[in-house]
Amino acid sequence: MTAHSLSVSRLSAGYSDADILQGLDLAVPPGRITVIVGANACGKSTLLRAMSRLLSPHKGEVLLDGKSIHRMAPKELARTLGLLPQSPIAPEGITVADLVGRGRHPHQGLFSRWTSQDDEAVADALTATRIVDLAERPVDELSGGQRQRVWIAMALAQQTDILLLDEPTTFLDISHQVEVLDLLTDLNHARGTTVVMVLHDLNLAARYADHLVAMTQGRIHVSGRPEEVLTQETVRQVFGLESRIVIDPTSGRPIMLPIGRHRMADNSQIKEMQP
Amino acid sequence: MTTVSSTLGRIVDGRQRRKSRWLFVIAVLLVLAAAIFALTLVLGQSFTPPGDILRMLLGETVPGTSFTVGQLRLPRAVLAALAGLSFGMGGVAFQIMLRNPLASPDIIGISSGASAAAVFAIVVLSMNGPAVSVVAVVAGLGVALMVYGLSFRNGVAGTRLILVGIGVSAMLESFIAYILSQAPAWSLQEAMRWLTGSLNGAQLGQALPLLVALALFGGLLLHKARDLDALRLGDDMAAALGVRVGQTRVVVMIAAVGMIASATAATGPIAFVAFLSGPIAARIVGNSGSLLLPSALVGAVLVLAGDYAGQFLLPSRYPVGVVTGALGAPYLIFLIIRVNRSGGSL
Amino acid sequence: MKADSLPTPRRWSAAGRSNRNRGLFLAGLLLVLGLLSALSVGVGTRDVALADVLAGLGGRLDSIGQAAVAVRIPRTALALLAGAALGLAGAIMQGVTRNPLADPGILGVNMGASLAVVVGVAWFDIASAQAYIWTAILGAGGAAVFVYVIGSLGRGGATPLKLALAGAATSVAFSSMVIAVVLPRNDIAGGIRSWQIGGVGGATFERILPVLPFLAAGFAIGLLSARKLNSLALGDELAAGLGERVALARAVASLGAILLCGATTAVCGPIGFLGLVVPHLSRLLVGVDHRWLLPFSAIGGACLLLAADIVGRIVARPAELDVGIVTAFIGAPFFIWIVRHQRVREL
Repeated sequence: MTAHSLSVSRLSAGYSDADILQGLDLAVPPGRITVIVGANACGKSTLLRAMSRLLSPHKGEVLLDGKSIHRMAPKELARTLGLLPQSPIAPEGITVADLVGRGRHPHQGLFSRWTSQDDEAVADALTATRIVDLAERPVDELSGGQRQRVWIAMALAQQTDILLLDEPTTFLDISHQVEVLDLLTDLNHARGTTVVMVLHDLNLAARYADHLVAMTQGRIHVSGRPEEVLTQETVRQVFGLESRIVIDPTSGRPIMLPIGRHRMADNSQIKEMQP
Repeated sequence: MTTVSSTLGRIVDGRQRRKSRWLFVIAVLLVLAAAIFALTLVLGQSFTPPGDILRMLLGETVPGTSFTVGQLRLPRAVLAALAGLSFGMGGVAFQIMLRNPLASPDIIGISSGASAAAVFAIVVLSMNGPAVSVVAVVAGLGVALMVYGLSFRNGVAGTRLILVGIGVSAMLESFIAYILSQAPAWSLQEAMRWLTGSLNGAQLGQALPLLVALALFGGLLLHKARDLDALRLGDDMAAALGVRVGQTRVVVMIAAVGMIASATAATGPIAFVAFLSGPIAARIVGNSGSLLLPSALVGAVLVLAGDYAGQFLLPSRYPVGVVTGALGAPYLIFLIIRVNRSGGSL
Repeated sequence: MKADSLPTPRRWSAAGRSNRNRGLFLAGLLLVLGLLSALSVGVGTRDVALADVLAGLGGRLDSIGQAAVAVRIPRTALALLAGAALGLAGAIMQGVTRNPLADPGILGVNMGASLAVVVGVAWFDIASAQAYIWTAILGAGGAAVFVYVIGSLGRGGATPLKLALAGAATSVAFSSMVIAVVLPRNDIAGGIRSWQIGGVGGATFERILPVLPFLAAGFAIGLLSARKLNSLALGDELAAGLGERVALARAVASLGAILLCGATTAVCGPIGFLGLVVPHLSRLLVGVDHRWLLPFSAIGGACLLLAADIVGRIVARPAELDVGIVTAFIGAPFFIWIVRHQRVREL
């Protein structure tokens, strides 16, 4: 699979006239997982929307292989770059296989019929997300975690090299959050899909990201490997929070522990609690 | 690998099952519509042998039949079928586009707009015939644009558009009420007949412009069917799949309004057909395919059956609009209950 | 949905009005009401000289002008009563449902009253004023309960959107039933059609008298529930926490609103949007405290209906615009304005 390059250059964008993003630059490393974090209203989702053409920039460009995505035909773009928005809508009563099949839309011309290639793409997507057994079930009946896998399957059926996801773990309980992120990592490893997602949870972001981007006030504050990005200074500057960073013994990635104003234990107590 | 190939088999099976269900529904609806159409021709106040009708259709002059069927029943049935198809398809296009069954043209003011213009044309400008139709179509489009424009605020939320439509529609209705209260008796009759949606006095001449509009706008809608279907996943998702959301909306809106307003101009606003057809079709078809054609056929069945019932099956003669209105009212309430309970779409 | 994108409650600009200011507003509004009443007696499709107005007020019927004045006095009285009733009913409904779009017209209450009356006239031959009123109140109550139940089904309870849609749909459904009932009955069609537009023209004291007890009861219940509405405004849980019996408070206040709407509709026909506009304007003047808001809405409603009636008499001379049409033309744009300014999440 050839790796496509996606980058953002001096991008200003927002709703009506106000710029939420202000001259932002970003290069997405191909074939890796990039996670964008930041405080509420810092422009994370806006950036993702602009990168997927849902929002037209006021200034600057989003470049896919050096071409501005806003000058590409929508279907052409949709064959390379897929997006899972925050709250997609499942039509009432639609079955899983049918919904996943909707991901084939950009591959079908005006008069071209459904091909065996389309069937294969759907089968492949269902297998990869381990929801083959749900294929004929109505989406309404599924649990939140299953549903999210269906949406990811749909994005997979689109067979794009780049996949953008806007908070794919919201509304999920913690076990399903981990499951979804594991699934996305599988895809990244198995197919080399470039993944870009916005996440709320800093620790999950640091664990799953190859490349972590911290945003504040419409700009990129810092980006790089999680160990470089998730530091006490970053957390203070981006979130306005005092914290302590430790290393997760399982993943070897940094973990942020918030420091509030209360519940300060002295070191002797902590030592007692350790086995 | 066996697992992959069996998965593939299941998917192909499921898809073909959906497709054959869709085709089956279409076939059944076609047969049903044709049956009522034939019934309308054959059995009115008196029975006409199908043989006579066939001879008449082939160009012979059959005494009696040429008048009752040729002049009365045939135009009526043709107009009913065409108007039903237009209302059904135009209505469901709106409902799909805005992801809400309440977003049908008869609720968001488009039918009121066409009606208000037509009543104004009939009563104040003393117009009649095709001129009224033109006025109604233009006004329908104008109101649609106005409602769309008024609900535009960083994009159009379907629900906001519905509420704005309800407001606009309230104004138009009271405008109609005012015109009617000022109308002289003779034009009041005409205006009232028109307002309730009636096929009395249908003429074959009215069918031609309606047929043209249906072919033109219906073709446009079917051409956009797949993009329209993608909109059901949400605007963002549709855009991510490569649909030009804004452009699709504009095209769909123009086509749907064109169909609805042309039909309204020909028969008056036959209450709730545009609103009812889509949800009924969705019930029958499930998610097996596009709703545009099934809904159009349901619309035709509704108007044909409603008109027949209004003429012959009820204690006194009712125009078709009253029949569909009485039928649609409880269904509207049922639908509201269902939508509110599940928060679901069509 | 993220926590930060949840709808924040609308802030009304008049959070802390001093009672002195409110008193001044009240005096001003009463003055306006007096002026409008005078205008309503003096102005119409026929201009009447001041001398004739005074003579007419004194009960003399010698000239055409004086006769016109004699007709306009009950009309003015009815406009006052109906306006006050609808304004108050609207304020109560917005309080009970905590819903900025609540209005007797939008929530289908007026249409319910209409349908009941139409059915009564067409099928049960009701004719007496008493029967009209009871039927209308029954219809209004039935519709109110019905719409509220439908609107509060499902997630989130009675949100503005669901309630407005349920009301609008019910209105549409009822009005198509009205057509189905009336159409085959040529004998009653004309009378019902003119009644249905909603107007205060042709009022006589004989027609107003029978509704007075109902209106009085409605006003009393409504105005006395101000405190309860203040508690309800905090949300059901909090109101219950403050010791309010929520369901009872809601039922009592609604009863007041239903009496007012039903009685008004029985005499005037359905008049829409007044109950929507007036409480919003009153809130701008006196803030959210229902002890002030309710009386203000009543007086404001009387002013607005009088004004609408006067306008209706002037703009279409020599004909008249029924007041229901005028209020729809003022109210519908206002409704759209509110809809546009609600947060998208809520709608």
